[in-house]
Amino acid sequence: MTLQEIEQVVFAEIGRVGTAKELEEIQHTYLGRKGHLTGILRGLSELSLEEKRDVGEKSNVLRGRIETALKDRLGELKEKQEERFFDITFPGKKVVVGHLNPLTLILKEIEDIFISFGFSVVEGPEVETEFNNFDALNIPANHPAREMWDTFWLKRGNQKSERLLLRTHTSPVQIRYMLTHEPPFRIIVPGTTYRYEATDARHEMQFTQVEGLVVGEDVTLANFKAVIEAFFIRLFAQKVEIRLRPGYFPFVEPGVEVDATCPRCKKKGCELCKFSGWLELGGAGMVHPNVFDAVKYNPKNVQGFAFGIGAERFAMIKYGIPDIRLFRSGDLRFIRQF
Amino acid sequence: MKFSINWLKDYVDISLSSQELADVVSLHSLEVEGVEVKGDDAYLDVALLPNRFPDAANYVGFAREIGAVTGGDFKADHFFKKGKKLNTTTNFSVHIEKGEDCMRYSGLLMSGVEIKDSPVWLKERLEAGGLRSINNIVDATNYVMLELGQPLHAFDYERLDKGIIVRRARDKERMTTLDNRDVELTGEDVVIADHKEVLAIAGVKGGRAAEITNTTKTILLEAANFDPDRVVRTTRRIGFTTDAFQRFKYGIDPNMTEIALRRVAELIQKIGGGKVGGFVDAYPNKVASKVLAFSAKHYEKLVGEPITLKEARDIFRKLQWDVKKATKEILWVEVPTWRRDVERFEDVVEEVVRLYGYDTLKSKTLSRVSLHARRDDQLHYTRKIKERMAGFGFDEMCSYSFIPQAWNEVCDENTLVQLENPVSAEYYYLRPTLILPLFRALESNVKFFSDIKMFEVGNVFSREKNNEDIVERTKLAGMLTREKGGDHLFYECKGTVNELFHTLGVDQVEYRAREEVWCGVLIQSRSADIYVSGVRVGCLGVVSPRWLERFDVVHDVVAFELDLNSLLPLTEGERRFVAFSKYPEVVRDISFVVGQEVRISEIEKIIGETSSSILVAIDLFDMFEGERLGEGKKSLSFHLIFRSDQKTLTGEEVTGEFGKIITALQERFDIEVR
Ligand SMILES: [Zn+2]
Repeated sequence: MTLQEIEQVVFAEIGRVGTAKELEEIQHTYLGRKGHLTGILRGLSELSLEEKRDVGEKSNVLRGRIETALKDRLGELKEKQEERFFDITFPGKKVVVGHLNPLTLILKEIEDIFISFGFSVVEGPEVETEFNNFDALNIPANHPAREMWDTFWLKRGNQKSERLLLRTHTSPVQIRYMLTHEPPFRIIVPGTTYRYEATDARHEMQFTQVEGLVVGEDVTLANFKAVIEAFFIRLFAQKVEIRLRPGYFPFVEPGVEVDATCPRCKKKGCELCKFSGWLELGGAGMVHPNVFDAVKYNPKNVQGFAFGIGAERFAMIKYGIPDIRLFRSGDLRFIRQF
Repeated sequence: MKFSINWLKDYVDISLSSQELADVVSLHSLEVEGVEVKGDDAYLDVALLPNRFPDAANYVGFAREIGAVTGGDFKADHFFKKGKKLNTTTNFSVHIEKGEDCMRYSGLLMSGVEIKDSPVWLKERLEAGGLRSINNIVDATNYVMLELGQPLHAFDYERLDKGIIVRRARDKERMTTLDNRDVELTGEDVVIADHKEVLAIAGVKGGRAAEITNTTKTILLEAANFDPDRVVRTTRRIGFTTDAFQRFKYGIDPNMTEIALRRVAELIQKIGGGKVGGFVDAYPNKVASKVLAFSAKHYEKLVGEPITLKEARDIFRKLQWDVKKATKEILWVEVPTWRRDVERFEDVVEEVVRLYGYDTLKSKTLSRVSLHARRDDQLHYTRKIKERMAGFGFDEMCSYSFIPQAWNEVCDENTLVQLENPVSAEYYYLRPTLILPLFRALESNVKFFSDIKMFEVGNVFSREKNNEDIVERTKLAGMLTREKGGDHLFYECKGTVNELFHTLGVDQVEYRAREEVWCGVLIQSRSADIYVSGVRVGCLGVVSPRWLERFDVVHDVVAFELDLNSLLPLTEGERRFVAFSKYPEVVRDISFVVGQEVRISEIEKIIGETSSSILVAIDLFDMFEGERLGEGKKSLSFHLIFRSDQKTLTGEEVTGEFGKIITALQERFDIEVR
């Protein structure tokens, strides 16, 4: 057979076969050691050099095409065999994975945003001294402002030693940090805090606070507004307006409450924002000079802002969690949703 | 405090709707938590924090604030104008024993008053203020307290023995309050007394001794200013508080006493007749107003937004603060004594910025980029651990840091940290380990799930024995349970811990038999201490069924805990690449029967010691026990993996090595090769 003759019949033959065995036979007939194509190559010796090159090249191309056609046909035959009833609605095999608590998820989001703003993440102990938690923060022992923080006190055998407590905010880490570092700096302090109070859907005796502190020569309240605005926009992934109102925290002056437009209803009013269009999201202010005094900074040379936000509150808003007690309920029906 | 808008209108012009007013006040002054409409009136519920309680927790003070933020005309100035001088010639006397207990005591006599019911308007207003009507005199004093913030008290002058003495109570001295409480006093309590007995507990409550009765004709009106600390301590001890106390607690402007007495006398004359008599005023150290400097330049430096002195001056006018002196850059403002919270420049800045309006403050990006060239390792590893544990199928718990009082039986009570004021016996001590709180979660979840794997990263607390110090450490704990867990559960947990160690780049891990009973919840013979590079970093073990019984858990439970403060310094942090060998590995299997008591670690140790460096891994792949092996025997099967970095190993080399190992095992453990 000539190359042309082979080309004319072989592809039709391949198209007609119905079994893998027949395909093997075709392979044998054309490409095998004694096959037609091999025969042509063997007969080349009688031809001129130029003709040899021409026929050799053509037959190699044809061999390649036949091999591909054989593989394609084999694939088609195999696929046909697989054609049987198959239930794609049968349930997928369950992969067992654990779930992170939504508190961890929200903290990671918050931390990562501030890290991208150049903040360092700093931590501190949950058992604190009365000095770090109150006195150094401009809340002296008999100050009526103390009552703003219902406190868990720890029993101590020796009455004379300093009173210890479970920190009521992560603000004492401000003190610890400033006593060991020099400005300028920007830090956030996430951590567990405690309040001695009755719990309900919105109040917990144990909760998570993220505090921020930025200190430098010329850090202003306007800078705070920019930082907190950028943070909310990143966290809620939408345009959010910020509103500052007068607030009172003894360790800042001026002190402000921070509201943001409700990300759920976009200021139209809904259950979440109690139909006001605004959510109270934290407290802030310019660090009180008495706090700088307590850590031996000169208030004439440094200034800065501090703020505090509640991690649970953000998780509740973002993930639609209705009750703050769920975070620490240990209920797997809750945790496995995240 | 709830304020009636109709009543406020007596002192300030209000043209806004109640909701508009609430919004303006919230944005510039005090947080209005709610607006309640009642009939033709509306009430604002205003949150008064300790800084503004002294000046704004009364109608006139709050009206002044409304005037400042809305521009409405303040109409109560007349209270503060110096009126006709009061008559101070009287034979009545006031004596303050300790100056620090009472900054000021003012008394005003009125004679010929008629005690009767209050007029309706007064009753209604008291009701609006949450107070009960008693008689016209008492009601008038309460009314003025709501109006001006100064608590007042009225005594029946004819029942007083000589004069008034402000003194400390004698130990065990007693007084019966107006509401018939019998109170025993101490030398720490300040009282108002005559020369015979105690008439009132200073700043808290009046007594029966000189109480106003229907036959009272002459009254002594008291307006005083007591030391807040002492008043707080007294109420804490006697266990009840009053409206007057709430005001003394936050401190009151001592200059208010005379103003309030003039006002109440005027009111009493209107509703009970009578004549104003002598005025006595013990006020040894007069409190004067402060003058503070306000610099526009410093304002801008702090706030980040400029202001002109003209604008600032306008704001001070709204606040009714006088500018005493002005230069091109500085205003010297006189802060009235009623604003006890304004003490320094930053306080003045707050007044200006809030009235100017935070809404006018433009955001300004922090100017310099702060580069922190340090990784927070704790954060980095904690995240890595949490993510890896979730990957292993463990759900993350966040437990309370408190454990029940009843659990002290499984802990060493001397090392537990106890709260002075626990919320209940259920949340009594601080957790000494993370494993214990996980049982609470276990108990609530076994009702719904049989296959549970959970973990927590958190802090635990303990007290050092014979020492006051409280030690706080960060731990990772895990717990797993499953139907038909069996011994396998322990090894599964161990495998998890090992894989976690691998993630953290920890290699030198060793499990040793526990030396001491820990926490009473793990079975000692089925638990291990975990060592890394010779340092104890945690433990792993099977939980005792005795402990599980109380949680209604019927399946096996295994738990582990690692001390991250000890572990993290020992971690490499990340794995380092090890080049693959170019040469193939040869695997030889060995199965043998050995005494049940022989530990795998002992066998691995002998194999390791015997073989040369071409043995690269030992892998136990089968173990069983059974009758046909004989009593106290078990069968073990290992893959022994040989490989060289230099060449392809020959069969003889491997066989020789393999033989040496078998011989060593036979000599040491009397094994029976299968
Ligand atoms: Zn909304």
